[in-house]
Amino acid sequence: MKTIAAIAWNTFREAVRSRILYLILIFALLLMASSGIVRDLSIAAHDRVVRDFGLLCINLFGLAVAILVGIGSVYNELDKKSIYTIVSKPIARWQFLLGKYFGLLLTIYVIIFIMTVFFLMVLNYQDMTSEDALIQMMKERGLTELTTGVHLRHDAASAVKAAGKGFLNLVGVDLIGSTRHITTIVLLTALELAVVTAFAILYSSFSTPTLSAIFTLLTFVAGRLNESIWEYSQQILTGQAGAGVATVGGIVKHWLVVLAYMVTPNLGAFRVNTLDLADGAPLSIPWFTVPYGVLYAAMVLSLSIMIFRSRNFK
Amino acid sequence: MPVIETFGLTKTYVRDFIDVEHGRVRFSFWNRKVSALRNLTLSVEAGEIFGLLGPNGAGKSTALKILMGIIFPTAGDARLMGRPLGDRSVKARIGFLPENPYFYDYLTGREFLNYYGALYGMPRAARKKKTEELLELVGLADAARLPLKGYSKGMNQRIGLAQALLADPDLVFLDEPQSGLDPLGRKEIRDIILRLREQGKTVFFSSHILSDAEMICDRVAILVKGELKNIGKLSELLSRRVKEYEVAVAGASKETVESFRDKALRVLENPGETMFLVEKEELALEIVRKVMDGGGRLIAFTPRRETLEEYFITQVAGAAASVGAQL
Amino acid sequence: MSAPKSAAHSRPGTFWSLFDRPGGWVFVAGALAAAAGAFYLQWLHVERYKETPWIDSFVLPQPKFVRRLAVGYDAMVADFLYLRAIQAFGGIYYRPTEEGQKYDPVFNYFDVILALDPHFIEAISFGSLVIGDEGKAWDLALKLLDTGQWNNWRRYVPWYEAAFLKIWDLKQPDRDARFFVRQATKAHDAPEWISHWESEIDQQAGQFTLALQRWIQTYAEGVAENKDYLAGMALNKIHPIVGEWHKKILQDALDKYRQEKGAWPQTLQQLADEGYLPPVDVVDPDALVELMETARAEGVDLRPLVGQLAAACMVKKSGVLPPYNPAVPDDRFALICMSDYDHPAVGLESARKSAAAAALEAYRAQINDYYQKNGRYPDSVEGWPAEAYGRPLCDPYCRGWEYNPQTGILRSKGDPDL
Repeated sequence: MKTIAAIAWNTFREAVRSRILYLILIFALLLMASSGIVRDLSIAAHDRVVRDFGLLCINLFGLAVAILVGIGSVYNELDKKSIYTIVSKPIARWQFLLGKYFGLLLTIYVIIFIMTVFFLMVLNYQDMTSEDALIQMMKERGLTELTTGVHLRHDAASAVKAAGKGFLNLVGVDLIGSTRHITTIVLLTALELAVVTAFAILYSSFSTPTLSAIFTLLTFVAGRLNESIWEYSQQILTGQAGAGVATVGGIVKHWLVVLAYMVTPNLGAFRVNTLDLADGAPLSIPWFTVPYGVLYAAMVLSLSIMIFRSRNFK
Repeated sequence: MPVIETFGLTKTYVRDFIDVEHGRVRFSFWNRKVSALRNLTLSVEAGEIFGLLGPNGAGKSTALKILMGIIFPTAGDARLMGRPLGDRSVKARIGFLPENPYFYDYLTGREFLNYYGALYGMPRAARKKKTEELLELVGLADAARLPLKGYSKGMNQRIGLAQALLADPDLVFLDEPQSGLDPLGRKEIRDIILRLREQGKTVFFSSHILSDAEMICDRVAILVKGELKNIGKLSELLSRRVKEYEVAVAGASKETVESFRDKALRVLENPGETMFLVEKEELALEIVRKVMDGGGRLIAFTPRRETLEEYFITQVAGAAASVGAQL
Repeated sequence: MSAPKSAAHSRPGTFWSLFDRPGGWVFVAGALAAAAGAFYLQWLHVERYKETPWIDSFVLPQPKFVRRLAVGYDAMVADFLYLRAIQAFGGIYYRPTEEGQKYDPVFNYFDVILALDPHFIEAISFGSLVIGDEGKAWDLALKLLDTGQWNNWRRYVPWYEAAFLKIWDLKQPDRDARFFVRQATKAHDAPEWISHWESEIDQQAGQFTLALQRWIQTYAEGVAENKDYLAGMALNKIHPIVGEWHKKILQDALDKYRQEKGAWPQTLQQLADEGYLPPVDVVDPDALVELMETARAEGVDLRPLVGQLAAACMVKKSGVLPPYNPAVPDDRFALICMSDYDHPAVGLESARKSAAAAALEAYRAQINDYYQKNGRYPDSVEGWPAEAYGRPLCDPYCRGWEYNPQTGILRSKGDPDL
């Protein structure tokens, strides 16, 4: 356990001391800070557009870290042969791989955490300085027209207040309006990235970084389209029923597609229903969402350990 | 009881279909097997300094990597400290310095040793103490705060040696520990190895630099093209017979020099100094006597034995000849 | 000590050493020329943009394909498409009223958004606005709203939008319209006023007594529940509804006149004079309002009496009935020609006046424009200026324009003061 923690910590340290992470983070934060533009582009649906934009940033940049940092992490150790000294130490190879995995997750989660806090602050700041807030303020003061006494509070005090509210949101306090459900959605994203990172580890345990990146991306897309694979399997069935004949080839094809559905990760499971978001109802997340993510990641990691333990490091 | 035993260790690599070799893309669809190590059987006793010698590509690193569990043998078996390979209790008692080591260049020297100490499962305090001690030993105390990125090749080699010694190992494996170092660096490494022996530890190292091995090894094994050519004590491998004598004198008269010119193997004349290379001891002594009688001085009298280098060359040449014969 | 200086040579490796040799000058000149050329050509692009109007394409693949392309970022892609639609339709780029404009791609565009996020209420609203209100592609708009209703039947917006199309745009007071209003009323997030739209349907269907009864009902409830604003709103509705009733009577008489005589009357008074406006049963709004207020003052619960109240105020009326326009108290009904002189309709006198003023203003501007360009005034304005300025404007007074080609002065015969 201690050795896994040591390797994880070193992996985290490697990521934190590389430039790529900061480039990603700075870019993400800049994008989020400019989400006000998206808000202005919209008619109605302001909250929704900004919320989706921020969540997209968190998801995409989390994915970018998982792929850009995750793929190189194992491969570099093999390529630069630091694995030689690691393997000669009294640790097992699975410990090394798990250490790498948890180190990567730690990195990704720290990045996601920073992005989320920042995003909540931006949201709160926008809420405070939006037209709605202005109208609310005018109502409170009994004003029907815009007068010089009323203005949007774009100042340091609002920023500090927004920061404070953002942190409170994070622990579930006062989650209303556009900040509602955001923490839950981010936690689901974290779970999704845990599965994707497991795949990054799997592929980089036997392949080059470029190939691993492509494989991981393809797996991600396949996982996101998991539902479509199932629909396709059903289409084959209905197609046969429509034709009135069930051929052996058709049945085999159907089951192959069903197999593909079972094997690919169901990343759609880590999305929330837009109906819940639209209705403002409590999110309906099935109980097996979290166990599914954990078990699936464990399965992929087991596979990578199986491959890794008998590898010759040239 | 031997600390290292190998029984018929064999490693055969299988080439990729498409590979880059010497800057050229190489396609290979058959004959893809490359034999790196063939049937290596040897044993090393505790407290020895054992040298695994051979030219580049002889299979030295392959043998070490198998012993370290980095690669797995195609055939054969090995035991370290009486336990099978990969045993973690054994790994806790060995240290390893790979060839041309790379370490995490974003870590400082101190962080690096601390990290590896953690991998050995050493408690924090012990780690700290040992780190400082080793930094002192390898002469990197001043550079401990610098990231490894800025380390020179020699410093890298030294920090590598330090990590190999972290757990106070009973058995140390060093792969080409002196390669790429300047003479002073080589001497320092040599001193450290000798000190390890004084502490009763076993050192197993590979090298293609023979002069280093010659000075410190108790026993050596010679590998050529993946095959063990010879193994034994240095004194046994090298004939004790004196091959020739070098006599260097000053102030020898012309007649004296001329009188020995035909008898000696070679005569080198420098202004004021003459060197004779002769085969027989009697002749050498006669030269000395003659020169001294004529008022000259003896500068040096050196009996020359066969060196490891010369032995090595004959072995490699022999192997090459035998390979040629096979073909 | 400084190095021996050679006047012409800079230190190697610095930028200025480029100019040591003539070749360097040539190189720099070439580079500058290349940059200038590139910038000039870039400017040509701008000119090109100015010439060709930018037409936004709204052709998207089928919804199911777009869904797959979105790889799970469905809601985000829906947002993006929504924003793009806003920029295109809200801006100057898309002209939905052009002749022969097909709205199938636009429908598909919003259908894609709803496939990506079926619960995107704002997109449903905006889509029906673009396709229906702007594009007049009513069937497609209702189809889009149908999708929205199916997925969001608990929300009022899709029902409300459909009801709006049916009542205000299509003026079809049928069962569909009623269904939409009732569904919207039942939604948990519906505003209160939606239920009153049923009264509008009644009016359009000619069920004026029923429309009145609904507001009397609202009034009764407002009084009983002490909701003053509700009672006030209901009271204000009585006169306009009766005004609509009057308008319907006049319009029916007008149609009958045309049917029987094959021509239009000059004024509404002519209808009355020729006996086309016999006494009919109409509710007297003043009496009804007085009755309602009296009942409230005396604490009578009107709720059981809703059905009888209107009947009690029924009176016989004949002649040109008043419109009860709350904005213009002494307003009257009159004949208005909106698009051509052959189909006058019943409308408000005040509306006729402002329409005439607006038409005159537009016409005079055009005549001025013509004078600026041609140095003379147009010979005639009847049928002019169709080519240069689109559809000719007709005189809302149905009498034609009074125009002097020499002076360029244009007046309305119906109201020479304008």
